[in-house]
Amino acid sequence: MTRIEFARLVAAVQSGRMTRRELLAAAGVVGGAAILAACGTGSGASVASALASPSTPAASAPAVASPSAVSSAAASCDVPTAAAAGSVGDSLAIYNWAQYLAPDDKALFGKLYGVTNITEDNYPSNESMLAKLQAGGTGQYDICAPTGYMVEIMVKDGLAQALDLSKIPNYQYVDDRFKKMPFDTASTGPHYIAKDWGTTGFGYRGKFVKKTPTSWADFWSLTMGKYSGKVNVLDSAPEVIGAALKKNGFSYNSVDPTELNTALKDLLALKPHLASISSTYVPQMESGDFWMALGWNGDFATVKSNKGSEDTVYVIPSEGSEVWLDTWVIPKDAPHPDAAHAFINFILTPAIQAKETDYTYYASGESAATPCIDPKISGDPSIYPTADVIAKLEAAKDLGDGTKLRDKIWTEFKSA
Amino acid sequence: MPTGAADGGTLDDHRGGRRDGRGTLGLLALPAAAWYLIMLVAPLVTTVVISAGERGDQGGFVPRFTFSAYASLLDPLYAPILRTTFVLAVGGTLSCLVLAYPLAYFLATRGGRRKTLGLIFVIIPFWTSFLIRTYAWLTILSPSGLLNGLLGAAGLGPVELLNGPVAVFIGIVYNYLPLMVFPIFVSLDRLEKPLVEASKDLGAGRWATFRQVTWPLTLPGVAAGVLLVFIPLTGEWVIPSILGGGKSYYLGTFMANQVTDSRNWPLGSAAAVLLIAVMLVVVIGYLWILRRAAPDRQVSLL
Repeated sequence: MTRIEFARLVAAVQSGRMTRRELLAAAGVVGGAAILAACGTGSGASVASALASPSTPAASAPAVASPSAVSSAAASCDVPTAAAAGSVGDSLAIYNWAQYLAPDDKALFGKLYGVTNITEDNYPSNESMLAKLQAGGTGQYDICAPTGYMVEIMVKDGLAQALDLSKIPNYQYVDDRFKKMPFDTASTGPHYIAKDWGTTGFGYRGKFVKKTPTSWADFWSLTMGKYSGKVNVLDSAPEVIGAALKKNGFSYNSVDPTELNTALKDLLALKPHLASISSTYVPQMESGDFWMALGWNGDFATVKSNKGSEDTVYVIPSEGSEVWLDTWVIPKDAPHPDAAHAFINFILTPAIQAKETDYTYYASGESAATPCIDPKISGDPSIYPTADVIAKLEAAKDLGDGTKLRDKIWTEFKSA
Repeated sequence: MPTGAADGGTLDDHRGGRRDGRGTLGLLALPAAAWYLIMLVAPLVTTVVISAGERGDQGGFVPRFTFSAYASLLDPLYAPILRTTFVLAVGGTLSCLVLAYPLAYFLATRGGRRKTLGLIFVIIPFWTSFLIRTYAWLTILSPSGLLNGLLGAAGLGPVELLNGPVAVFIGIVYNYLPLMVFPIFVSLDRLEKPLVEASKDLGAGRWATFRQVTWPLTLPGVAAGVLLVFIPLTGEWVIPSILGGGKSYYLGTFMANQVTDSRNWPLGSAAAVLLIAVMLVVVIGYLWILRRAAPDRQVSLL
């Protein structure tokens, strides 16, 4: 194992699930991932149906009178050179997944807007972020990046503030399909802004896996057969239970005891064959310690871009899987709401959106940004899947009390 | 044996006034007492309060007075977690003891002038972050890691140690060993040589001397070391999750998981409170047995 790999491992410590957001310092070749055509029907969940609808960027409509410097940026891939708002104070406290915001963009925002004191803390899961806001109050941060279902929880619990769209003129560039998501229907106005989106599936190293798995059923049979001891799944209940449910044709969000029991049987059969249950898997995929893993598309794009593991293939299983939308949310008592609004407006500039996607390898919520994105990324079906693939994907939902039952399933799986 | 009282007495003498000295002492103890209150008692009370509440719909907790969280812990579902945690804690403690005692013995009796140097070597790993040290083991034990590289070069087949109980034990012994070495070293270092010599002069062999003189007299050090290792081990979750590959579920992992992923604070808190209660009983029982054991031995020694 090289020094660099070791450094990556150390960096990965800081957040369990961070691998999904891991940095791609070197722009690598990403493309040609195997994405399978739909053959079943999805249950038409929120994010999926929103994504499947044709993208209609508002920016392509006749320009809505938009104040200040950004109006000319509609088709421009040049980054802003001036602030779009007056003084917004000098501080901004960001709470985000690790390596999920390009350092250049953060620095540029600070420079243009005179926000000299930008801090960023990282969390490893939506739930740890929630626990911190619930326990320590919402005045700790100005902005955080929950996934859709978590926005619903935060709005229900009064942890998110309604956004003042008059301060976010660049909202016009966000695709309409991402503007009124089912997880935030409160009449008080949107509490979220689409950050980026991606899928959950599995990836494998073509060098070692001499088959072409296309489904969860394949994932199971290969793990329990030829590749026993070389496969990792995430240490995260929704994704792993969701995969077992999808394999059996059930909803990703099922809380039905019979369906969950069927899923549990599959999970218990799988467990002895797993190398590990861990949310850190990118370094091991790169080194060849893992041959196959259940995870997020951006992670496998990372593995693929690494020299020596270009043989990586990401699969959206044919039975269907998860699609997720990550967002920007301003907590209820954010100490610097003006700076937070200015930041969101800045990050929504199409040129900046493109830089974010180039950095994270996750699809932007703005079609207006697509021309500015590295074509190797925007043309990669594992990052920008086709509408028919998206149609059978489901978004995770807040399962309310059903979480308890799923937690028992997870406990049984983990302690078996 | 120097005690706190004796030290206090000296201090009083220096100050030249008993009342005056006591006041100063009280004042000096204040920051520590406040620290104790804020950092230990307050979180503990919070934990107990949450454990009596109910899970909120969006996570967090709803204040109540119910034992439902405790009741749900009785589910046999959780028995394997207790079993694996117990095996980890007891096994880890015993392994540390078996390895630490000879090391401490060597340092204390054969260390000579290099005693301090030896102790520094024991503590050097602590200068690096605990996480980095644990992750270093990951790179050593992984299938493509250092160990398998060396084995491969020697023409031996790869061994799959990572992501299993062996790796967890290695990580635990490595990280906890110094906690066991130090108290045992101190008790051995303080052991009065004439006692050992007297035992030998009176005809006792090496083993008899160790069993009847050295071991009973260093028992307080062993007791301290065992507690220092055993108690944190029952809540340990970092090492198992990194080196165990997340394939075994321990109490520490379970509690952390309840507070975050499962959004069930009361269940996690109830598990924590129960663990504290069980540990109190175990530790008190353990100390009581030690106390009863020690004087007997000393009598026989005399």
